[in-house]
Amino acid sequence: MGKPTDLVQGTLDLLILKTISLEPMNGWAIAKRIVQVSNNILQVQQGSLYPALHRLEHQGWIKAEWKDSENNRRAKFYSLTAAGRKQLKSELDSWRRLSGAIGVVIESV
Amino acid sequence: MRWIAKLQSILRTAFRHRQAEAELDDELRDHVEQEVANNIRAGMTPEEARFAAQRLVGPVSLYKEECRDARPLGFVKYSLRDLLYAIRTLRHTPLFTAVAIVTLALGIGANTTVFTFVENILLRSLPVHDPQTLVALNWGDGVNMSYPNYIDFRDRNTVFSSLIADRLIPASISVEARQNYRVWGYEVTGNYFETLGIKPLLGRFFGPAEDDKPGAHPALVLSYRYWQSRFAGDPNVVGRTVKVNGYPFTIVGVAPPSFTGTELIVAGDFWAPMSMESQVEPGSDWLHSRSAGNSWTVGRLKPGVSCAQAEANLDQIAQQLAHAYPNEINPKARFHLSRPGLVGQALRRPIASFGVVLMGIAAAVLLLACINLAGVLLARASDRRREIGIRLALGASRFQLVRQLMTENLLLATGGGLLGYTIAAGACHLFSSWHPAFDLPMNTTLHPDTVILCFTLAVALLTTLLFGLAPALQAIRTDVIPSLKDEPASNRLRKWSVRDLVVASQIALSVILVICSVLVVRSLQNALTVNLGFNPNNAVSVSFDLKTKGYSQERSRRFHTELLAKASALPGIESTGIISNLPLRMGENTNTASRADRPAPKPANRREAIVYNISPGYLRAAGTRLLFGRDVNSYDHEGTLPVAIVNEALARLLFDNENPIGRHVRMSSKAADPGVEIVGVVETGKYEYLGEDPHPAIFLPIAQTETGWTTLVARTRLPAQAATELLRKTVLDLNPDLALFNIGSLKDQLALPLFPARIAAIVLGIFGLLAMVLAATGLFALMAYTVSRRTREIGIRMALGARPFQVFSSVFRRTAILCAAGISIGTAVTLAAGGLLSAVLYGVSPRDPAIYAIAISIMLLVALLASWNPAARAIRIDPARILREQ
Repeated sequence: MGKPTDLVQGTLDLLILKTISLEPMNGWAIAKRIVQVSNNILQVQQGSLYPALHRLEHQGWIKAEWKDSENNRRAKFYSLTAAGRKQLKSELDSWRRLSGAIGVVIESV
Repeated sequence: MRWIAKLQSILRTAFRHRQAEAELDDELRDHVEQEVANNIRAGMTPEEARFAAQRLVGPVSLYKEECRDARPLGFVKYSLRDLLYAIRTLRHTPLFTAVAIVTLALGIGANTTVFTFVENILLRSLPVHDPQTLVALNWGDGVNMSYPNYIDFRDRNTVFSSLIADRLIPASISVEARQNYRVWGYEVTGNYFETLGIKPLLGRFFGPAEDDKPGAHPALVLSYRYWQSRFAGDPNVVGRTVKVNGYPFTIVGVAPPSFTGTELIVAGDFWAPMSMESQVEPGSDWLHSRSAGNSWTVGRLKPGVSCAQAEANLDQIAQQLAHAYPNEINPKARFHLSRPGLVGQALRRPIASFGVVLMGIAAAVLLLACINLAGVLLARASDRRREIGIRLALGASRFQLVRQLMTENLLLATGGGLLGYTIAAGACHLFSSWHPAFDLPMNTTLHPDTVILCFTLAVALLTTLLFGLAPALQAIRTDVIPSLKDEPASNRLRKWSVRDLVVASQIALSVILVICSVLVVRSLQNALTVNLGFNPNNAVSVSFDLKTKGYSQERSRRFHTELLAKASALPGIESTGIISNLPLRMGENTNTASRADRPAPKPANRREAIVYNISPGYLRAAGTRLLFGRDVNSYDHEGTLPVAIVNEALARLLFDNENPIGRHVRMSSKAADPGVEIVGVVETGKYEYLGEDPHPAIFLPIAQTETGWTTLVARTRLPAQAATELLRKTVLDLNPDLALFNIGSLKDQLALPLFPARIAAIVLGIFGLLAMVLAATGLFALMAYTVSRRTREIGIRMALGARPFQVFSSVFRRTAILCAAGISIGTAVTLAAGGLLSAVLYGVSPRDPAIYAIAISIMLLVALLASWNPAARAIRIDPARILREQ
C-alpha cells in the first residue's frame, strides 16, 4: 500500500498547478489530462492526487469551488489563485533550470 | 492573500469538520463515478466498468486519511483522538490502569519528596540580597572564630566588601514579670543587617554605630514569628522594653517573615548587637578572648574576587595572626569558603551526602517502578497482539500505532505524576507540620513549588520513555497473519527475553535498597543501645539558667545546695544531682587539656576536652559508672583544692596506662597553671553526637567553678511525667521567675541526637519496603505470565508423563537463575557503593556480612512467595483439558 513512486512530490505539485492554469478542473480531469498529455507515461494515482490537491489548497495556491460537471454532477473544481500563479512561475523556472542543467550534463558525456 | 486562504482553511477544518468530511466523501465518490462513466464510454458493461474503476482507484479510506493529514491542525485532532482512545482502552482494564498509576505515583512521589528536600535545604539560597556573593568561612576543621580574630580578619582582609559574625544562643525573654520564655536568637555584629541587605518589616535594624562599645546599646530586633506569637503582631511593639536574660532591651524593629537568620534550618527569634554579649549572656565576657572561638562568620565577596583568592588572603592573615599569637592560633589551619546557611561545611557535608544517597535511592525506586511497568506493558503487548494485528491489517501505519501506544503511556505517566505530586505534597506537609521534640527551633518547612512541579512533570515524561518505548516498539513488530490466527508469537520461550533482564535488574535494585535499609535500621538499633555514658531510662531532668536571673556565684551555689536537699527528699526520687548541661544537648563547653607535669603543647597539638560541671550525686543520678577513684563530694568547694573527674578517653590520652588518680590536668595554655587534681575516672560516653569517636571529657565540681547553667537530674521509680512535675514544682518553689526548658525524661530528650538516624531509618525503611513490594509484584507478574504462556507446553509435557515435581522445577528454575543473578549484581553494587552510606551509619560497617545475609534471605523469601502461586498453578494444569482446548 505504499505510495506510487513514479512521481516525486514536488513534480506532482508542479504538474497539477500547470494543468489547472489553463482552466478550472476537477480531480478526475486533472489525472486524465496528465495521463493524456504525457502519452500515458505519467500515471497519477488517486492516492497521491487528492492529498496533493488538499495540501495545495491549504497552502493557498489553488482554490476549489463546487460546480456542475459535464455529466450534470456536482464536482469540485480547482483553479489557481494569484499566489498559485506566482508559485507556478517560480516552480517552472526552477524546473527548467534543473532539467536544462541535467540535460547539459547528460548530453555532454 | 495566502495567509487569508490558510486561515480560512484552518477555520473550515476547525469549525466545519463534518462538512469538510462530506465534501471529501463527495469528491472521492465523484472521481469513481467519472471513472465508471469513462469506462462505459470505452465499451464496458456497467458491472465491469465499476469493478475496473474501483480496482484502479484503490483503498479510498486510506486516501481520506492522507487528505485529512494534509489539513492544518490534523496533528492536534489525531492527538485528541489518540487520547480519547487511550482513555477508553485504559478504562477497559481498570486494574492494570490503577496498578500502573499507583506504581508510578509511588516512584515519582518519592523522587519529588526527596527533590523538594534537596531543593529546599541544599539548593535554596538565604532570603537576603544577592545571596550568591555570600560565603561562610570554615577555618581548620571547624567554623568557629573568636571575636578578636573576627575583628582582625574584618579589618585586614582585602577580599570582602564586608564580613559579619553571628552567634546562635538561647536566652530567656520576659515581656512581663514572672513570664519567662526560652527562645533562640543571634548576637550579631553591627554590619549584619546592612551586609545582608534586608529591610525591616517594622521599625529599624541596628547598625555599626550601635555595636561600638560593649554594653552601650541594648537594641533588640524580633523575628516575624516571635512578634506574631508573643506580641500578637502588635504594630506598636517598636520602642517597648523587654528583658533578655534579665537585662532590659528596647525593641527597635521586626524582621520580615522570610528572614530567620543566616542559618537555613534553625529559626532564630531575636537579634541583639554582639557588643551586648555580657548582658545577653550574663556572666560571660568573651569579646576580648582570642581563644573563645564561638561565633560564625559570613563574608560578602567583593565583585570579581574568586573563592580561591579570598581563601589565600585569609590564610595569609591567619599566618600573621599565628605569628603574633602563637598560643591561640594554629598556623596549620587553612580557610575554606562554603555556601552559608548550614553552619559552614559542618552541616552541609553530612546533609549533602545524605541527600545524594536519598536521591540515588529515590531514583532507583523510580527505575524499579518503570522496569516493573515496562514488564507489565510487555505482557500486555502480547495480550494485545490480536488487536494490533487487526489494526495493522486495516491499514494503520506503524507510526500511528506507536503514537497511539505512547499516548496511552503518556496518559499513565501524567496520572502517575499528578498522584505522585499529591503524595509528595502530603509528605512535605507532614514533615513541615512536624516539630521535632527538641529545644532548638527548627525550620522544617518544605514547600513544593513550581520548580518542583516542573521537576515532577519532567520525571513523568522521562518515565514514559523509560517504561513505554520498548514495549511499544515490540508491540508494533507484530506479524499480522499469525496474530490474527491467534497463534503463539513464536517458540522463543526457552530463550532469555527482555522481560527476564527486566526482572533480574529489578531484583538487583531491590537487593540494593533492602541492604541499605537494613543497614540503617540496624544502625538505629545500635544507636539506641549504644553506651551513652549515662542511663536514659527511669531518669528525668529539668534545665534552667541562674545567670540569666542575675544570680551571683555565691547565690547560685546556695541555690544548688538547697535544690538538691529538697529534691532528694521528694517521694519516689531515688537520687538527684546537678550538671551544667547534659551531654548530647548541644552547647558543650570545650577547653584544652594537657598534663600539668609537661610543658604546654603548641596550638596544633592541643587536645580539646568537653567540660561539664557536676554536683555530688550527679554520677549516680545519671547512671554514669565511676571506674576508679571517688565522686565529687560536698568538701569540693571554693576553699578546697580544685579537683576533677576525667573520662577514660582523657585518662588514656594523657596518661596512657599509668594511673591517672592524683595526677594533675592543666586546662589553660599558661605554663604556670598547676592544673587540677584528678580524683576519679568515669566511663567514656557520647557527648556531641552518637556517632562520635571516644571524646575526652572533664567533670569539675560545680561548687569550684562558675556556671549558671543548671540541669537537675533525678533517677526515679515514678512515671516520667509525675517525676517531671515534682521537679518543676520544686524548682519554681525556690524561684518562680526561672525559665525552665528541656523538661522531661532523658529518653525523650534523646530526640535531637537520634534525629538524623531516625529520619534515615524511616526514609530508607519506606524505600526498602517499596522496592521489595515492586520486586515481588514484578516477579509475580513474570511468573504468572510465563506459566500462562506455557500452559500448552506444560499440558503436553504432563500428558507425556512429566511428574508435577519436574514441571514445578522447570518453572522454578527460571526464578532461581534470575534471583541468583539479580542478588549477586545487587550485592556487588552495594559493596562497591556502600561507603556513601557511612555518613548516616552508626556502629555498623557498610559491608557487614550479617546484614547482607539478612537482606538476601529477605529477598529470597519474597521471591519464593511471589513465584509460589504461579508455580503451583503450573502443576495444577489439567493436560486433558488443555489439549482439548488448544
